[in-house]
Amino acid sequence: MYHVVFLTASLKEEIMDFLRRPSRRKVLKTGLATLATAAVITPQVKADVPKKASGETKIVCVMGDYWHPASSQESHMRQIFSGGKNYKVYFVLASRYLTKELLSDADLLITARYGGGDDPAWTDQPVVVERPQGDSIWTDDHIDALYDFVKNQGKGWLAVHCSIFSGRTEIEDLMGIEPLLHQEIQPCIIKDLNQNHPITKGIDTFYINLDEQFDVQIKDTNRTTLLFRNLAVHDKRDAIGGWCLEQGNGRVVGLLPGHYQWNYRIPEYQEIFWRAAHWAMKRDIPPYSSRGGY
Amino acid sequence: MAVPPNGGTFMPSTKPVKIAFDEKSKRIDLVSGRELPNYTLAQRGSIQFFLDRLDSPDSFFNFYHDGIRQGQIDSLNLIEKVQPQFDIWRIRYKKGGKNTPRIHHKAVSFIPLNPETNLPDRRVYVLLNDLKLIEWGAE
Repeated sequence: MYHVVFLTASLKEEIMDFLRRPSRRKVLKTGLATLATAAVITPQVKADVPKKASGETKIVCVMGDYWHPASSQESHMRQIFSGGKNYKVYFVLASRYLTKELLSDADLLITARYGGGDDPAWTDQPVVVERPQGDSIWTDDHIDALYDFVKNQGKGWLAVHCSIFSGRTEIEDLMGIEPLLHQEIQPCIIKDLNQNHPITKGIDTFYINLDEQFDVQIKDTNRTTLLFRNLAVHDKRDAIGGWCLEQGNGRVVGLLPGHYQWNYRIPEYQEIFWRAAHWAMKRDIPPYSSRGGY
Repeated sequence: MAVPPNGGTFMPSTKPVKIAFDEKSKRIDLVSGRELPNYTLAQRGSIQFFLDRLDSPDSFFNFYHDGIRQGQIDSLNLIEKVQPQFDIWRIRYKKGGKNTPRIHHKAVSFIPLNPETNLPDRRVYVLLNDLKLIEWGAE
């Protein structure tokens, strides 16, 4: 449960200062212990949750961390969905803002985050000498919001790359997999694309010049459709690369390539993203076309 | 104040460690060359890993994640074989986390408990790939 608290500018600044440097002594000294504690427990102090406009397709993205550059992932998500009429990408900059409220009117969620803290942590300061501690992702509240979004609301979730290493069994269950770690970064060949599924039909084998080749074990093969396999060129591991399944009222697609920014530049992979998004949203799949981008 | 169940001192567990040989393993001791019984228990504290030489035991194994990391025996709940062709094992830590990396250490040694007498037998050395499970327990 989150609460929205309206504060005066000066009080808000004092609390934000506390959040940046959460020293108990400082809190007690400033006499803000009660308010500060409330702010820690209910970190939605500043959130103005963006609502979607009529006719809009709202795509929420939670991507990027120490190993995976958010800036390029954001750029490519905007590029991939630029061809959709009234499609809008909402890129979450701090995990505290991945909430039921944000997802309440969203059509699609795309994640590429392993469990742990946001890194780098988001701050509204223009210059930082010391970074605040990043928000944790895949908390109980996140899981609650995700399950509600997919299973109850019947929306779509694209779980990309390191999302399989959430550290939470509940999330693995929703993806329908048990995660297997990547090995050394190496070239990969995307192959065996499922010619009977709309996400991959007509797409031929392609290669990725370097990637972390994750793998998964499928929990329920009767309910899960394999989309493609991924052959690591150096160690010859032939791994699962993509899959999809229905979960409750919603749909989930797992796409494992995605360690580096160039993965998202590959035309075939962009098209898979585009189609997977529409399949997950239970919509007809329009021809893929994107504008600009690197 | 918490009172230890044994009435006074916190004692480290002496419960044997569970092990399981892979069904495909010939269970050959690397030192003596003899075929081993299908041991299922090892004396706690006796397990050692070997990266290469059998005279250089380690209390950890190396694995690849984002570089070389170490899995310290003291921190492990269990390891179970997942993709033996790539030396990939699932590691479950006592603290609850897990990982599925490629383990670099190639051999393991332990003092087995005789299946009939439950007493310690002579220390044995086998390829890690001869096993499919070592379970220290979550404690």
